Amino acid sequence: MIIEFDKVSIAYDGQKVVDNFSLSIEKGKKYALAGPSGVGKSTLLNAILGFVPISEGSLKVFGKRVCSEEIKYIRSNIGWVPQEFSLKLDSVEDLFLYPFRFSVNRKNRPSKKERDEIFKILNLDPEMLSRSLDEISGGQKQRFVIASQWFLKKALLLMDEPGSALDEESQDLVFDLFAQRKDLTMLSISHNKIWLDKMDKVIELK
Amino acid sequence: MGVQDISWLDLMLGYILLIIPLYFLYYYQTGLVKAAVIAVIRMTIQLFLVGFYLEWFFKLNNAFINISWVFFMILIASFTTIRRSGLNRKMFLAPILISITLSVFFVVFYTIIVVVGLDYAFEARYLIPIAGMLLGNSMSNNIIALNTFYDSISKDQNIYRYSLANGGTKDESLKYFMSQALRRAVSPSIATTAVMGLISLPGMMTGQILGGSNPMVAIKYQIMMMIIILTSSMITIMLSIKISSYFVFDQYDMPKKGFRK
Repeated sequence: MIIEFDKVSIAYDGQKVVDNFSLSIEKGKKYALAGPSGVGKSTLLNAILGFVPISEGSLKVFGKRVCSEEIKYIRSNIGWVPQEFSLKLDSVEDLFLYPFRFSVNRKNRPSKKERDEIFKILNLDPEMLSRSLDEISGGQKQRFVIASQWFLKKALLLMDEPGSALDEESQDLVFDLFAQRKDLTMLSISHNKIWLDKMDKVIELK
Repeated sequence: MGVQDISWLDLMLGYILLIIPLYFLYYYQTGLVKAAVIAVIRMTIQLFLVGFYLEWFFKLNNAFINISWVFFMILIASFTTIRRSGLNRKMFLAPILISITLSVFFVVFYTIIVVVGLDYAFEARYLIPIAGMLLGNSMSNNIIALNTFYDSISKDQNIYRYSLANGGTKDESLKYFMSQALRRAVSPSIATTAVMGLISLPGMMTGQILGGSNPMVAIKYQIMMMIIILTSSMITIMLSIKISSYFVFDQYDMPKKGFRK
């Protein structure tokens, strides 16, 4: 199992946001969390990354309990596509290359040729790399982040609302790209039917 | 030629100039008249006190008293830094106190022993004014740095989380914030250094020249001051952030609640 939530509860300031949640995801499966806002979807992804502590139950990622001793290993094997990109970076290139500045990812930094191939698949123009971040759309930013995730080659990819900024065609491109990697496990949050239809399983939270 | 003393009466005549700024502060209803008057009174009393104790310190010139006085100034600077940067005293007092102490003592003794080449490193006439200038300058730079660093960590948590989530270590993920903090804190000093002598004659040099020093000697001391201010500011900032981050972040490298007041 890549992810195992076992009767997990998470509380903020004494109020339970997630109550008795269980879910196991096998290697290579593509799952999505759906449901109205405020039911704890983002909280679950944050718990996998060790950003919020769980108050009850157990959570294992890559067979290791999410705890301070294991969190570095867990994080270094996860790729993460957040929903918001209000990152104060200078250029699109900075955004694309951001994860490669960390020592664990340096060996994966793509060559220009490799980069351009993936940009072509994701319908991105390499000319855009020199632009500032506010000169490109939310969907383009998300696709640049997705392109860096492709090169990071992590075992688990977490995506928060990948469908929100992408049109139907881009969603197809992104999904088809990652679907090629049979060993990649994916857990996303989405409200988007087109995206949800592509998943192996959709967990509806209430 | 010795310096021309200013008599008490002449000093009073100097105060008359204050009528001009006070008039405009009053006329434009800035609400700053009272604050300005209090500031001038405070400055006068504080500086006279400094004058009295410096005279006394210089006469005694005792290593223990001199070091204790520098340490007292460091204590005041640490409390001021915490108050002005709005940080939690419990978490930050020890890190800031340690950082300023290490930075100031290292730079001051390097200057006195290696650069100036005095035989007696605790000489009050050098130790106290140099430490005072370093403290004043590196304190204001440190306040800007700590403010920028911890403010952007609470406001821009998404970039910090994005870095951790992509496998960045705590230090790697904090690099972005460190760079912002250093830029904000140190660029004014770099700008001042670059135009020194062109549009500003620094106070210390002016003071030395008025005090009868050879301008060349005054300039050499000023150059040394600019260099050691930049160095001690940098050491203070780096240590303050590095040591405090050890207390501010939990085992998951997430910032603990309540690090700001």
